[in-house]
Amino acid sequence: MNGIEKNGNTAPLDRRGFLSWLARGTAALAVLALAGRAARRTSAGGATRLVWQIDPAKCTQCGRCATMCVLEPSATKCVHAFGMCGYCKRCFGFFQPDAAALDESGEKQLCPTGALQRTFVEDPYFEYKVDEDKCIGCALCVKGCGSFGNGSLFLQIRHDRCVNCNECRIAANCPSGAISRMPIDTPYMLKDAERNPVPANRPARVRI
Amino acid sequence: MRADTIGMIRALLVGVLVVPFAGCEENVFSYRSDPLFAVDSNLISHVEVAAWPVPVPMPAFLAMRPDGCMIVAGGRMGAILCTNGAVQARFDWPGGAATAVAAAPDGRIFVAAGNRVVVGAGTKSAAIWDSLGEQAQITGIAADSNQVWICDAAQRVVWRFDFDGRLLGQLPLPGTPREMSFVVPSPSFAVAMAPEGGFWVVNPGRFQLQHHALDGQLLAKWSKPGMTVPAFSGCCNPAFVAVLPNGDLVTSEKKIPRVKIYAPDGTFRSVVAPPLALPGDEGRPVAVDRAGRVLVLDGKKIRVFERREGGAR
Repeated sequence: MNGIEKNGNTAPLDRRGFLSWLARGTAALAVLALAGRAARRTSAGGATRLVWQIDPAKCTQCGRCATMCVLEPSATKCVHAFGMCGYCKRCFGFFQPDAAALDESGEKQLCPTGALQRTFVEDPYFEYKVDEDKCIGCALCVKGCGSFGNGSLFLQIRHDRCVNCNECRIAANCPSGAISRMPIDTPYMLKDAERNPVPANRPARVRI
Repeated sequence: MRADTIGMIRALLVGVLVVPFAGCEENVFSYRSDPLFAVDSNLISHVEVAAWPVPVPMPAFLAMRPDGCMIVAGGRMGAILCTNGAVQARFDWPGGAATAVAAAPDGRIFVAAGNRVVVGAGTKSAAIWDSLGEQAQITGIAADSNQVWICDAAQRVVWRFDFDGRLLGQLPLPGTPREMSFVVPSPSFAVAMAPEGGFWVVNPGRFQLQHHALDGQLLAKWSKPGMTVPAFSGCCNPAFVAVLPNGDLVTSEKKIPRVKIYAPDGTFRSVVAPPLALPGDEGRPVAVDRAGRVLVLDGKKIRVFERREGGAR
C-alpha cells in the first residue's frame, strides 16, 4: 500500500498530511493572535483612562479642596499662569486685602502656609511663584487674585499626587460641580494668555 | 425608666437642633473683602436722576460731544444721543469692534477699532488710519481741536497724532526716567482732555493720574494706592477718567466698582456712585456734561448722576 498502513482508526502521517496539518495549525494560531490583539485594544484603548480635574472657570474657591481630599496635604495645588500675571506690586493673591504696608511679613500675607513667594524684578514689578510642597490648595490666593487682579492664579489637581479615587471626595463635595473626569492625555485645564488676553505688561526681563 | 426617657428626649432635641446645621460648617479659608465695599453715606455727593437706554447691542464706551450730545460705541455700532437721551443717529464703521471712542470739538468722532483708528464725520467714516502695530491695544482716546491722544495698553504708550493720522509724538517722552513709565497690568488705560488746558492720563499700575501739557510735558501727578475709599484699589485703577467743567476729576474704578471725584491736586472730594449702586466688578465708562452732571455707562443704559442737596463736597 505504498507506506500507508490502515491499522484500526489510525494511519501514519505522510508528508502531504503533515504539511497540511502544519498550515492549518499556523492559520489557527494567526487567527487567535489577531482576535487577542483586537480584544486587548477594545478593553484598553477603546475606553480611555480618565483622571479628575478642576475647571478654573467653574471653581468658586470654596476652600473644600484643602479639607476634603483623602490626601494630606491635598492633591489640589495652586498653579500660576505667568502669561496672564500683571507682576503687580500689590498682589491680592499674596497680601491680605486690607494690608497697608506692602512688605513680606507673615501677618500681611494671605497664604496660611506661606506657599506663595515673591521676588523683586524691577520697579514696580514682582514675580510670584507657588511652593507646591507648602501649598494646601485652600484657594485663598486664587480668590484674592480673581477678586482684584487678572485671575492668573488657579487650582489644579496635580496628577503626581492624586491617587485617582474611583469616587473623588472633593468632586463629591464641590458646590459648583467644577471637578470632573478628563481624558488622561489632556489631564490639566490650564489658563493661558491666549484664552485670557491681557496686555504684554511685564518687565522686559520676564517678557514671555 | 424616667432617666431613659429624659435621655431620649435630650438626644432627640440635640438631633433636631444640630443635624440641620451639620453641613453648614464655616469655610475656614474664607476671603473677607466685604468691608472694602462699604462706603459711608456721608461721602456720597450725587444722586441718580435718570437712566437712558442705549440703542447699541454691546455698549462699551462713552464720550461727550461739545454740543452736549453723547456718543456711545460698542461692538461694531455706535449711536449719538441728544442731551435728553433721545437717539439722534446711529453709525458703524469698517474694521474691528470698538475699544474706545472720543469726539473732537468740531464734532469729528474717533473710534478705536482693534489696533487702528477710524475717523468719522457725522455718521460717515471719513478715514481709517494705519495700524498702530500688531501688538497695539487701544483702550482710550481723547481729542482737542487739532490733536488726538491714543492710549495703547499693550505697548504702554500714549500716541499723539494730528487729525490726518500723522504721528506727532508719544508719551513717555524720550529721556523720561523709568519710574515715570506707564504700568498697565490689565487693559484699562484712559485719557481725558482738561478744560484748563492739557490732558489727564491714568497710570493705572501706579494708581496715578498725570496732567500733561499739549506738547506732552508733565505738569502734575498724584497717586492714591490703598484699600480705603479715598484711594484706588486693586491691581490697577482707575479704569476711566473724565474732567468736570471746574477741573475736578471723575474717576471710575473696577473690581471695587465706584465712581469718585477728586480735586486736580488729588484731594478726595466725594463718591458719586458707591459699589452698592454698581453691581458686578467691571469699571464703568464715565463722562460729564456741560451742567457738571456725571454720566455713567452701565450695561445698556446711561445713568445720570446729579449733585444732591447737602451731599458731600
